[in-house]
Amino acid sequence: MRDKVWIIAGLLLFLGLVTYPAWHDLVAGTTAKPPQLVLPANQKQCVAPLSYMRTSHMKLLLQWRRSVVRDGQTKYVAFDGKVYNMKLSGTCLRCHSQQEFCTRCHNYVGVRTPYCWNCHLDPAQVKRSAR
Amino acid sequence: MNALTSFILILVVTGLAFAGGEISSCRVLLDVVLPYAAMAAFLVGLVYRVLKWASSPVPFNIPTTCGQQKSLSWIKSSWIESAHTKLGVAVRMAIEILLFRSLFRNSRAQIRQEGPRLLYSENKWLWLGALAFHWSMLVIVLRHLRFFVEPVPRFILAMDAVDGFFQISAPQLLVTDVVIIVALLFLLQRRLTDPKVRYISLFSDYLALFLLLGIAISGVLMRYFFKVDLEAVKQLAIGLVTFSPIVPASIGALFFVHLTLVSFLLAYLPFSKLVHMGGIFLSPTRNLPNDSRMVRHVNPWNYPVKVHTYQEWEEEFHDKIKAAGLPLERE
Amino acid sequence: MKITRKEFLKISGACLVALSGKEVLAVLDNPAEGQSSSSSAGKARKQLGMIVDTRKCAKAEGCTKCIQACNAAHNIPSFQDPDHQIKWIWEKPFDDIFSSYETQYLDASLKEEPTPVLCNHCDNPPCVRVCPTGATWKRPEDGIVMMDWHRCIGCRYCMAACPYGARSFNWVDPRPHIERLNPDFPTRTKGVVEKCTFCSERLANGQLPACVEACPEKALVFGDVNDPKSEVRQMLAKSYALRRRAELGTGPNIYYLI
Repeated sequence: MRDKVWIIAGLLLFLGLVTYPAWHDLVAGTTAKPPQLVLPANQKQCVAPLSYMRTSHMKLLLQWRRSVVRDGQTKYVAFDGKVYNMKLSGTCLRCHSQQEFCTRCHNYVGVRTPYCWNCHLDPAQVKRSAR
Repeated sequence: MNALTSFILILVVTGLAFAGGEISSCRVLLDVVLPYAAMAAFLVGLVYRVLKWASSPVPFNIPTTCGQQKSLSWIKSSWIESAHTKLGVAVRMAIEILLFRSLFRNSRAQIRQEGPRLLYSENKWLWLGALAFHWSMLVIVLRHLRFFVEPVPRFILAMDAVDGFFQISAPQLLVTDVVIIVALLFLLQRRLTDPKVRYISLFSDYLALFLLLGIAISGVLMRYFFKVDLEAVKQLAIGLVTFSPIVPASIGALFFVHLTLVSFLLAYLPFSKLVHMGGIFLSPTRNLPNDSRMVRHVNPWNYPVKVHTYQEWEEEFHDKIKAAGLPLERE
Repeated sequence: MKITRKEFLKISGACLVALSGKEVLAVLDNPAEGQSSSSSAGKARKQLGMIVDTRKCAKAEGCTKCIQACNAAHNIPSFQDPDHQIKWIWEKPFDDIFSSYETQYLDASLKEEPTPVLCNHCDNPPCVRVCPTGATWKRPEDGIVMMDWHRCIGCRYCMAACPYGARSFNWVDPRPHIERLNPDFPTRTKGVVEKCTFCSERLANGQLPACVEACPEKALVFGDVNDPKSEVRQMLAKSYALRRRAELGTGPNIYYLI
């Protein structure tokens, strides 16, 4: 039938699109290797267990935001009894590098860099640009 | 009853996935074997269906004849609705596929009490619900590319930015997540509350809706409430598409539910009514030009028919007819 | 499923009643959190306020240390265009801020005397009343009119409501216009409103507001105006003080000694 050419062309196009991730990754040589994150040198333990931070750090940040901005509480008692200042720049970024930690993983999983950094500053970057 | 059994079936699948995720030996099955099997079923099944359709004959030229057909030069024809050119057909197909033109019609039959008389009215809620669901689904499927492709394509991030326009909470509330669930619930309630639609609704109609709802809800729960390790998800996804699968230690029970339901959908799609995703391109009432007055449509099915015309017959029996004194057309 | 107009009106009426019922219940539940949280019930609680001693302030001519300290602490950008300027604490001629007290015989030098102005952290803040998202609110524990920039949607109703012009809007991204970034305090983003917060971040650390600390003449005094034993109350008991546009009923908490 004369339409068969069109139908098969369309089908091939569809198959190409569906398998796009496979040939893209195979051609680009992508492997399942996770991004290389620069971990803090001076600290062994974050404010919450690793498994919690990996999945739910945004929940913690929202909770901190609420406590500090809305409730006026600035101290956070961690699971291990340590007390931290609830500050993104002052506490989180004192250990972690925004560029080499936050952004790297966010880019990897395609979570658009949140608009935290529209306002909150990375102390390391400020220091670098001041120099 | 149909609704209940399909609901129970989805619950059972969900339960199995939930339990399977807890057993470490089942993880290989759920993480690797099931997605591969489902994808294979999807691709093979879809190709099989489309090729089968492609080899079916189209005996008649049957475009739907809404709008003025092309006829005499001083009669204005509607070149999209009643397309007689290839371009018109292409536009009509595009409008059908992208905007669901055929749902945007007065196709809702109602019996009005005063009279009583049968009225056809607009079906715009169905149209809107269908449009909302399908477009959200497309955006959501494309958005999932971020797990399969490294580096993440720019347009995916741009799409995400538009989707998360309202910047509500973190992770950002995506509009399509809300829209797809609302649309699916609307389409479900339509089947349940309208007696006419309910009467013609089958097990498979409900199954598709519950399956899609299950996928959407498990995804939304995973994104906003019961967090999973996205890095592990991406590693698993890339491992799968590069044919070097790895089984991450733990992603979360909800992820297994989501993945299992998606695999179910993929494997089930080519053999269900959901294959209209491919079928819509081959709907003869939409993709044939309405040019039956200009071009003769020959059924490719036709085998050569041996024709014996009257003239031939008369010639053959000429003498006998003449002898019998019957009139002849040609002397 | 056909709804007549009458039924529709009935249902909408019922919905409205139900909605208002919720508000009433909320007020009954917690009377202090009701409409006028600050007017009567608020008086008993802590209310931070400030005294600006204009006589001391005038001594240091051309001094803008309080403004500079604030700008540096809060990453306030500097713009040439007056429409874009961001102001937390700034100077205005005396005669501008107390126009209703003006006598025509005041000397021009006094009329033009630059006087620091800032958010009045009103008892009954009109900005809070109009905010549709709750991005600005009156802190019950110390009476500060706070800002939550995360929640601000940039509608600028508060700016229209504030009779003191104490609020500024970020028309452009302020970050490139900040001379020296202070990493301990966030900048703001394009599209939010901002104003003085009485240095709530410093108060939390037990420090005084930056402007108060920076004033070389000790012309700015900060404290709880609801506490009769506080320094501000002692001072207010002894001298005449003016408040900006107190006749509007906003209950401003910045007092000007003259």
